[in-house]
Amino acid sequence: MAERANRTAETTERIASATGLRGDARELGIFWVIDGVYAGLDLLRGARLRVGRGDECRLRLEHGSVSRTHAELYRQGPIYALRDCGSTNGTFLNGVRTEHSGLSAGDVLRFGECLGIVANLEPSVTTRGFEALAPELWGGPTLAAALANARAAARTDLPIVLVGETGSGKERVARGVHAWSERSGRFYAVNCSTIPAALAEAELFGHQRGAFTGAERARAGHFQAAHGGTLFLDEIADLPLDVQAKLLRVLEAGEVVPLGGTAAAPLDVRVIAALQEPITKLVAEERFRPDLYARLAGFVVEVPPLRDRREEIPGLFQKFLEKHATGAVPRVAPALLEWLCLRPWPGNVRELELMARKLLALHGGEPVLRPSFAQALAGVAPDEAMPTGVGPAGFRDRREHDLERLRLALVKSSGNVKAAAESIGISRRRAYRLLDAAKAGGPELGLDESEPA
Amino acid sequence: MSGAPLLREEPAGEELARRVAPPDTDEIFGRRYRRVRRIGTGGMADVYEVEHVTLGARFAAKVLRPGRDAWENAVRRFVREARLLGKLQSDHIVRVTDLDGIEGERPFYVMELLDGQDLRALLRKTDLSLARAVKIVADACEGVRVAHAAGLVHRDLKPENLFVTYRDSGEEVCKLLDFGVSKACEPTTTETGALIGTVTYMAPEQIESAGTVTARADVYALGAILYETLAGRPPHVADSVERLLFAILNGEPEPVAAHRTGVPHALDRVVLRALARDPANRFASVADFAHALAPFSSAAELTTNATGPDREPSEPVRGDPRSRRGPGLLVALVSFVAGLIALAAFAQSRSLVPASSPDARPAVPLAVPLAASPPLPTPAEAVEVASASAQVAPALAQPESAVSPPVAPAKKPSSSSRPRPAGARRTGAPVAPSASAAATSHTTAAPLPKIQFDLRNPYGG
Repeated sequence: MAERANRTAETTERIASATGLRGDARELGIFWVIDGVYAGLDLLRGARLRVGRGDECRLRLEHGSVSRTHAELYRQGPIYALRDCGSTNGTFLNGVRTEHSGLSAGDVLRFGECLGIVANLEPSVTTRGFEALAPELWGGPTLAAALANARAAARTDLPIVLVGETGSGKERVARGVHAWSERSGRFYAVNCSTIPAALAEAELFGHQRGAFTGAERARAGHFQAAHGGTLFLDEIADLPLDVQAKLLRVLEAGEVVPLGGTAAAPLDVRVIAALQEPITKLVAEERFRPDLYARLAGFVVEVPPLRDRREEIPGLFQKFLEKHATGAVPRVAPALLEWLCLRPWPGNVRELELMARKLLALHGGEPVLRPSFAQALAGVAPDEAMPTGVGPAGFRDRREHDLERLRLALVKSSGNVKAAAESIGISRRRAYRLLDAAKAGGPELGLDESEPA
Repeated sequence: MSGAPLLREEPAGEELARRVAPPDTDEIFGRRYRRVRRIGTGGMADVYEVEHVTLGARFAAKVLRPGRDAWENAVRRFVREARLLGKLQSDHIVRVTDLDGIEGERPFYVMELLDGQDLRALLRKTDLSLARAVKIVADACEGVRVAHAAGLVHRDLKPENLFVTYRDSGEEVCKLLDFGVSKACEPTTTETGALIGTVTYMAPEQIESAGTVTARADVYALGAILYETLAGRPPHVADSVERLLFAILNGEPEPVAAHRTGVPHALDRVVLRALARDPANRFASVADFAHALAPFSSAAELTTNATGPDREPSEPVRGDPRSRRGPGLLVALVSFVAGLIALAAFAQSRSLVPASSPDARPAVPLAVPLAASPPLPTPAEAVEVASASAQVAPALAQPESAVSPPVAPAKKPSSSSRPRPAGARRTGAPVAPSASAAATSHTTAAPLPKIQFDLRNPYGG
């Protein structure tokens, strides 16, 4: 009997930990965005949660596009299921109209024109909204949880390694750590990939006069420049291996010997290194010295890619609009926001900012940013990856699958059905049939389906 | 191999003691197993090929990897798994022969060394014919049946846990590899892929409430495995673990025929019944499931499918050249059947298939399912029924099938239930007259029945 109970517990725990529904660990929450503005977070607790405009709804959305009882979320075993309750304007899961489906972290929901972004939340993180985690570092619970270790280590002088994709905000995080550390010196950023390999040592550690041909005078290196502060070494894996060895020596000894010099100068520098790929992978590929890795491995902090914290996209996008708008900041159509939330963003926050600038350039002073602008952009850059990170949900048949691909292709082809159909290898007639059948769901991106072929 | 010199030198005293029980090192486990090479690695344990230092026989040793959190818990589960496997005697469950090192840093258990690969690896390599797929799952059913008879529900059946190996006769046979108990401590949150691999075969009632799991959950898992083996994809596919769970809880799988041509309706019905969402609509036992599958492990193959060898030609045939015979025999049999059909055109006599003599005449392989069905006693029957020789004959004596084969061969003959030597069925085919003798001598030479690679060991010459 005990054995049986044991195994029951194991199975339950296995599923629960995978789905983030384990009571003592993570929990699912929905970040609401209404009219482009963050409108709060609801934690999913309870057997049945109604979503709608009516008073009886636990998840109440005060918006004209939402039906009185629009949809419901209910618990089924270890998961939450989402069911549309005959709403007028439809319930959309990751851009596809849905009647009934399971719910996953990272899903983008739309009830009428209200967006809900599902996230897995760490209970240890106190912040439930979005805030400046550090000067110039804005984020929500997911980022805060990821940076908890960095925050804890900030006041020590231990080196920290930040691992994150390009554009995910590693330098901002490093600046944040510098701010949290309250070190008196400056924050000094160096991108190792821009240093010529031959000069790397001299650049980092400085050199004496005559240390090498052309060294006409002594020069301080980046380490000396960062004295008393924080040295941020971006793309540290691009340093030649022998320079990595010298870097290790500097970290071990806490002093630096300039090239051609003999006297070591004591040094007070906090090093934060950044990598794009997991450090273990780099070590395995012999692009990173294992001994340096061992020295740095104490605090490895992963900066999550933007697609793993989609709930930040609406807020970040709004910030970028405010930053770059020349006149009045335009409003953002919900369908465009949904589209933005669904993109995989391989270039992360940097790419999102670029997208905001491009959209501002295109909108021509109109008060509302619409999906058509995004379509135009997608046309400008045809190789841009379309949303693939999240697919449609629930039961998928071939029709649904084709429809999804067609929708993505339509975005790329600026609504040209013929071109879209060709690009995904279906006939134009089938494309129209699919779109007709899906009319109930409406053209989500405001595509012009009557486009002559 | 090092066993031979030991015998020749006949060392004495301390030297002998040292040889018989060398101290444990990195290379020696439990003072008697020498590590030869690593075969596999899992979340919590590694599997090595080992050589018994005095016997010279080879085994597989599963070694718990040290340095885990909750070590005692891990050891307890590990020991539980080993003891379960040690208790279950079946031709379709890997045989565990030893357990040691529990007190130390390196607990390990020893099992028979199998030549082959798990079903997942096999599926990755090649598409299986209908009959081969059905036979593999029917074999697994037999292993699970024995476990159920001992009061155990597996709960974690998946292609990774089914090991496809070969009998001494060269016939393919499937064995249950582990009992999932240790899997529970593998990391899950970080490995979504691994988790999907586990959830895919989980019965709805097991997902909804892990406490209510009965033997029918294992029926579901075996049904899901068969579905995937036949269709090339699992019954439910989704883009996230949650939606996979949702689909299992709420969805209906498409018929296998939607993904593969030539699947008989009757077989589809059997598969979908094993996958019924409500456990009450499933087969009541794995024995019932296996029973329903029995007709398809032969007839479907001969009639609805191209029967070319589906083992890749490049696939290494390790050690024993006879394992190459499998597909070749199949082809031979098929042409033989074609001939026989012509023969049957003018001799529609029942006397063609009496076949009650143990040294089977050419007609016998036709009448018997090509691949032996497992014996199907009632679930309550004793555990110890299965033995290598018992596998073939009872299939003949089997009662009427639950589902009639799409193209019925001549009515199954009532046959003597007298055990036949392993391989007799194969050797009944006219193409390989000498196989029986080879198989027999082979069996006697081998210290353990399943050590194919090891058969060329010093003892055998």
